[in-house]
Amino acid sequence: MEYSPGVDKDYPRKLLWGDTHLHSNQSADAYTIGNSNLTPSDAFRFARGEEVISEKGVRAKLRVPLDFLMVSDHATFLGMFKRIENRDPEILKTPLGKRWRKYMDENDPNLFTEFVDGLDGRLEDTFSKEDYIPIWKEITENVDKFNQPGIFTALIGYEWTPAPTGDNLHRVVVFKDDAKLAQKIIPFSAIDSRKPEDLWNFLKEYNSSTGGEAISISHNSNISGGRMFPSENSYGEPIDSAYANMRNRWEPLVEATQVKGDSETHPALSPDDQFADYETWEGNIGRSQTKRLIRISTTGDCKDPLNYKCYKYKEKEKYRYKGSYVRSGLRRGLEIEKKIGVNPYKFGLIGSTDNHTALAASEEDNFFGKFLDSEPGPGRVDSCMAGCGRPVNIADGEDIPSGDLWKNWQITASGYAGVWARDNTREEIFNAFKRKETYATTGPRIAVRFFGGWKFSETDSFDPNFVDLGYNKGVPMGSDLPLRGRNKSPNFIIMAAKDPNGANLERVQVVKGWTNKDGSSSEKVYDVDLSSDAGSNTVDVETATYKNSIGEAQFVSFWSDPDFNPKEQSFYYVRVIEIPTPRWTTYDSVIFGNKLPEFIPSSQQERAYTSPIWYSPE
Amino acid sequence: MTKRIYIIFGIILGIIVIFFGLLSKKDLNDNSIIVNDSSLKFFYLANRNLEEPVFIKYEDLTEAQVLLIKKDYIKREVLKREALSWGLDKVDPVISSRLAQLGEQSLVNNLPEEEVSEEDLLSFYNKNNFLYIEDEKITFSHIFFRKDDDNIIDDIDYYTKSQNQDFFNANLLNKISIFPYQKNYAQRSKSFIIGHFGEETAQIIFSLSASEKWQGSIKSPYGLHILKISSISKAKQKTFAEVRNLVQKRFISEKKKVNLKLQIEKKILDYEIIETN
Repeated sequence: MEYSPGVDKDYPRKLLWGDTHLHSNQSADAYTIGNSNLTPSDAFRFARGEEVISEKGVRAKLRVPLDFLMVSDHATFLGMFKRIENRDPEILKTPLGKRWRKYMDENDPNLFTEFVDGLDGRLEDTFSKEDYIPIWKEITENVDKFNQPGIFTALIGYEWTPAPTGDNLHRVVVFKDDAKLAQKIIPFSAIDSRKPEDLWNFLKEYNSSTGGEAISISHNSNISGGRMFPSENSYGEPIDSAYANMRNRWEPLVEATQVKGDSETHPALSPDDQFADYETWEGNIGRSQTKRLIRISTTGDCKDPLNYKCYKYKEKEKYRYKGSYVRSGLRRGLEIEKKIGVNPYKFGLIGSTDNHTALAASEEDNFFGKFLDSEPGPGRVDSCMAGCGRPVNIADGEDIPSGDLWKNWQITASGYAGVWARDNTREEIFNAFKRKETYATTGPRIAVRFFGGWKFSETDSFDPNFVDLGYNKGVPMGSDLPLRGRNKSPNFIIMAAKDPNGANLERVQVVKGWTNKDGSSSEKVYDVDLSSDAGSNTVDVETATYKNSIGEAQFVSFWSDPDFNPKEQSFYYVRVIEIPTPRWTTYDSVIFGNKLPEFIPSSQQERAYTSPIWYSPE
Repeated sequence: MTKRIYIIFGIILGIIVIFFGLLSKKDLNDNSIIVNDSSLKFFYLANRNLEEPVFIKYEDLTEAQVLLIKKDYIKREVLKREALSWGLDKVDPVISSRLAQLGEQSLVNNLPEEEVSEEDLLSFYNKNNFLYIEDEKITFSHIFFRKDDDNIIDDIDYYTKSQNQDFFNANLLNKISIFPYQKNYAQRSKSFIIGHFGEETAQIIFSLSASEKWQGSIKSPYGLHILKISSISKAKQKTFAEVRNLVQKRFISEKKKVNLKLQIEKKILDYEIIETN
């Protein structure tokens, strides 16, 4: 007999906000580009709501603290620059330490060049694994100090950073464990291997040898040159079930949005999706493969050769888009599942910042940039990411006139991770990551619930016991639909609520992908709920303000798939779109008086992407 | 005198134990590997595959499975001893690091107990009093109504004035909506409430007082709320007396860190550092 109504209702009811991808002065690039002072401790203090002084001397504070944070400094050269600056005798004994100290003393730009080469294993000298032991120990023990179960979760982690031919294959590694366990390894870096399979093997080995657990989360697929969601493994062989199972086990999540652009989809992949072109970036991480790009126009907004919106992949390179975006990756996953029986791209979504300022600040009007050069200040819009005037290292005759990385106006004030968890602890958050009960936002703290099943009804979406019904009659985001039985079509209940300190919502959409008989895949975006004034824009560019007189504060929706084919694989995820609000550059133009080129959008529509729910034919 | 006899007796006994230990060790060939249930069980547990969906207890393993484990154990033991005989433990970074950790832990365990005076604690508290501020906190339950019914505000206001439960049941019960976050908030800080209700609404909520009655209507970005506030407290500086134990713990921990550093530096002086190229 059951009596107590609370039995079996231990659902994840807490919506926790965090960032799993932030860099401090322990990252070699953050340090060399200017953040030599803000430590991981500063990062934790800022995230939990304290005021911190930024590297440029600006007071910084979040409106609302975060619930969790992982400082994911680069494994390659982790903590080395700060130690060289401090003349750590152990590091200065090494040939590289000695040379880099000399570069520091002489202000030699080779410091940055060698570091970039070294990131990808192209530097002859390097540090031994042993050199990292005390650094990793100090870093992990410091994280433990900031972890307050139930109040604020500090996760241990780092970033694995390979970029073969400039194609971004980066992943952050998240540990469930405390310093004692995490110290049993030395971070696996791109110098150890540039193949994701090797990273996953390393995670597996950590698990089996210590009993601890860690997973990887990929990011910036948008600038991966098609390599993030490939059809082949790192050895050029077609993906098989072993690869698929391994990837699903060790890499359950993808960071869909962050400071270096948005990875949901690209207009070339989703031409019928009016919201596809959101903070789109072209090319790859190093912009070293510019020969892959073509300048599509030289008139109008495209007169300015620095308007990177005016570059696209050349026709023969267009195949790269498909392996570079989340939606096309999910679609490719279904296509492969149809062939081999396992979907290698069954991943959930989160957002994070990738800021290198130790400040997890993603709001448009409280944005502290990516590097020192994009911290708040009058010149930041015109400056270049990691500095202008970089030496040209691209072949002659290419369209992009310098070796500079992107202009800083192009960086994106994004994003955060929303996690549905039972409690604010390492274990609960990590388990939510594994369940994929997570979603991405481009900065606003939009609350989204998404349940799929076969037996939901219209009234369920309005029921005050929405959450109980969701878990009882269906499955949450990140799951597989239950067995179909004799049911005709899957249905879904969705709840989306605005950021209480932000803008209203314009619409709720379901994005569906499915396979066709011939093995190809298709996609469609359904408007599930729309505010009556959708399409309106209240942004006043002169004052950088908007009004919540349009849009809705909350949507509760029921949706049944009208085009369901039980014989084909499919996925469904929710996209929530805010009403238009000023872009961070528009706020800057008012605060600092910058005059912006016209091709920079003055307003934008921020959004949330949930993890998908999948269907496979029985 | 008795103590001295005990010490001498203890030393003699220790020497005898070591002597017999050495003798009995000699009985065993250097190449002997002792295998028994206890060593195999330990090996099995330490090396089990945590991804296996079902974990079989050592006692439930078949003879064939135990044989396999035995083979693995012997193989690993042989390889381990070979590695030790080649001196590989001296160059392995993980072993070095682990030994260094154990060394540090021994130093920590043997640090002298700190003498702490009340003056020390008070001075530490005064320097770091920002660490001992209690945030303003609130405990309440709320009922949420979406904004889509214009007349609802009058009904809510009538209810909070009258507290008439029958009126609530007849007119409001079926209009309750799902709030995106929680129904109950226990001992939550203002920044937490801002994260769920927005800044303006949080200010209003914190301006109310605790009461047995439902209060409202309160407007939030999502709609209307009525609240029953059980407790509300202002931010306050905790007194030294309230946090004395915490101060003591922190003070000792900080002091230990300094002492550990000194101990390590002292130990380093016992060694001759030879730098070679």
